[in-house]
Parts: sequence; C-alpha cells; structure tokens
Amino acid sequence: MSPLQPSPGVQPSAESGVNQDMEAVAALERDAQLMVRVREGDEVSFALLLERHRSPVVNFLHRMVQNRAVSEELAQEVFLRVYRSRETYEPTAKFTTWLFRIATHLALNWIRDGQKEKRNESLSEELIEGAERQVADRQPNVEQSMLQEVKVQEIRRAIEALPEKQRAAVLMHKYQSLDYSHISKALGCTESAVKSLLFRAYETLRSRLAHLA
Amino acid sequence: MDCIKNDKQGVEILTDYCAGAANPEVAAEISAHILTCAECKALVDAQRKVWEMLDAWAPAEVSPDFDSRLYARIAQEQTGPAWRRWWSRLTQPATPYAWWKPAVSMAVAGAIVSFALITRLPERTAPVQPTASIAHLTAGTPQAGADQVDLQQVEQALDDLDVVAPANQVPSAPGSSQAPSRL
Repeated sequence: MSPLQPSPGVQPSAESGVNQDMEAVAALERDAQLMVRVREGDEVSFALLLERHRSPVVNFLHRMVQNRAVSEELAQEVFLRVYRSRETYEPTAKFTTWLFRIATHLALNWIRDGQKEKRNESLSEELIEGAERQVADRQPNVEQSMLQEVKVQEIRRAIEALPEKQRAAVLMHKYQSLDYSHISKALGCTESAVKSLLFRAYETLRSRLAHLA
Repeated sequence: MDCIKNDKQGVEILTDYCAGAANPEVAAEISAHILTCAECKALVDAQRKVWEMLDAWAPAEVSPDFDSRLYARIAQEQTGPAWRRWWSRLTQPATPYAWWKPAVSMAVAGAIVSFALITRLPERTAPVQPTASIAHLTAGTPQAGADQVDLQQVEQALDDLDVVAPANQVPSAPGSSQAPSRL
C-alpha cells in the first residue's frame, strides 16, 4: 500500500494534515533558498539539492524510459541543466515543479526519439534487477519471486503502453506525490487537462491490470 | 452524498480518496457511502488495487558513482571555452522554450507591415516622385509654367542677396582689415 494511501477506516486528522502541509511548504522554501545560494556560488547547496532530489528524479526517469542507464544519463542532464541555469534562476516557481518540468521534457524527447532497441534491452536488464532486489528484501521462495517478477513486468508494460503525457502524469501523481497544480506546470497544460489525463490513464490501467488483482 | 460515478468531480474525488489526498470530511463521506453503495465500492476497490499493484514496482537504486560522474561533467563544462557554455545554454535550455511564439508574433507583424506597404505606398509616392518623362509631358501646362516662374523668382532673389550682402558687411566689421573687394 502506498504511504499516501490511508488505512481503511483511518483518516488523517486535520491537525496532522496541517502539519504535513507546513512541512511541505518549509521543504519547498528550503529548496528555493538552496537554489538561490547556488546562484550565489555556494557549491554545498547544490550538493544538498542533489542529495534531496537525486533518487526521485532518477526513479521518475527510470519509470518513464524503463532503462536504468538511460534514466541516469537523463538525470545527470537534468542536474547539469539546473546547475547551468543557476545564474538566471528566479524563485518564482516551486523548485520541484521546475525540476520535474526539466525531467519530463528530457524524458518525452527521449521517448519521441524512438529508441526502441534500448528499451528492449532494458526489459531483460530489469528482470534481473527486480529479481535480485526482491530476493534481497524479503527472501521469498522461487515461486513467489517469479510471480512478483511477472506482476512487475505486467505493470511496466501497462504503464509503458500509456500515451507519453498520461504516463508522465501517472508517474508524477502516483510515485512523486505531486498535486494537480504541480503536474500541470511540469507538463505545461491546465489542471483540468491533468485530471482528464489521470482519469484516462487510471481507467486504462484498471482494465489492463484487472487480471492481476 | 451522490454516487461517485454520477458526480461531475467523481473521478477527482475517487483518485484523491485512493491517494489519501482527499480532505478528511470528503474522505469520511466516501468511506460512509461505499458501505451502502456497491457500485461505488467496486470503483474504489478497483482504483485501490491499481494503486497497490503500482506499488509493486520498486524504485531503482541510483549508481554509487552518479554524483562523481555529474561533477566530472560540470567540471568539464566549466573548464571549457565560454562560447561552448553559452551555446549549451542557448540550445539546451533548462525548460523547453516555445520558439514558435515569437516566430508567430514576428510573422504577424511582418504580414501587417507588408500589407500596409502594399496598400499605402503607391498613393504617397506617385505625386512626390514624378518621373522625367512625366515632367516633360507636363512642361506645357499652366502648372509647369508656374513651377518655372517660381524657379526664376528664387534665382533672382539669390542674386539680389549676393549684391546686397557685401554692402551689409561694412558696418558689421568696422575694424576689420579685410575690406570687401567690391568697395
């Protein structure tokens, strides 16, 4: 179950919700402050930003392009562009939104370039990665491991089959916990368009993954 | 509350509810509603299952040398020539730049200017720039005669000025060593 998903019958209290919101605002302001310091030449702040956002960006790109090597290459390009733009950075938009806008742009460009052979290579690579990770985490038996492997493959294929923008919207919504406003800015469309994208994407995933439920 | 499936905002409510992002009041309403509505419960269950299945896709681990490779790239770029950094910024902007927007604006502006030139320029230039052949053809007209008279008057006025001017210079420079030659 997702950490964002409430346990059945247990809803977060208003107080805890407010605290979470305040923490989120504080984190966003911290990012902007760090980036302003980077603009002023503070290399340590860039290292902190990298530490905070490295994994989310790599994971998002990994799920978008479904190739580990390519996702890391694209993530490096994202942070390189962030560093390159430090002098012109203005904290008008939230840093995370800006970061994922760059990442989405690069991922969509890569996908549109149609690098099918790399994608096919990644499928076998991911099989190995997934199996290794699963064995290390929970020590399941061979049958469970194979079932999990098949399930993950099905999920990957279902997400991969989504249109590019639907895929990006679902990944940002599900795995990065970005709200509609952030996703709309990252994708360069309206909030209602994002809702429509998400609705169609989840409908498709529901029907494609129904047999796994 | 109305059924989620009948609500205009149903999709958003359902998505938010299953993501745990719905506000507590709405979440409580949905929780109560799905206890009595089988169709909405089926929708919520299906959405929840999708979310749970998506959780099975674990995140990838980042390579340990990710940072060192990134810093090497940054260092390489920083030590390179300035024009290359400038070129990289121009051709690889952080966020996509909509080049078509200024291009469309410029095209519209160009079209307006072209239209104005085509429709207005002939009206203004025809009377201002008469060609030699037109001047020749209109030489015998009263208008041409008037032009000639005007020219003669101007020449006469200039000659008069030449005659009068030296006379005027005498009182203006009484101590001058250079006297006017005509005097």
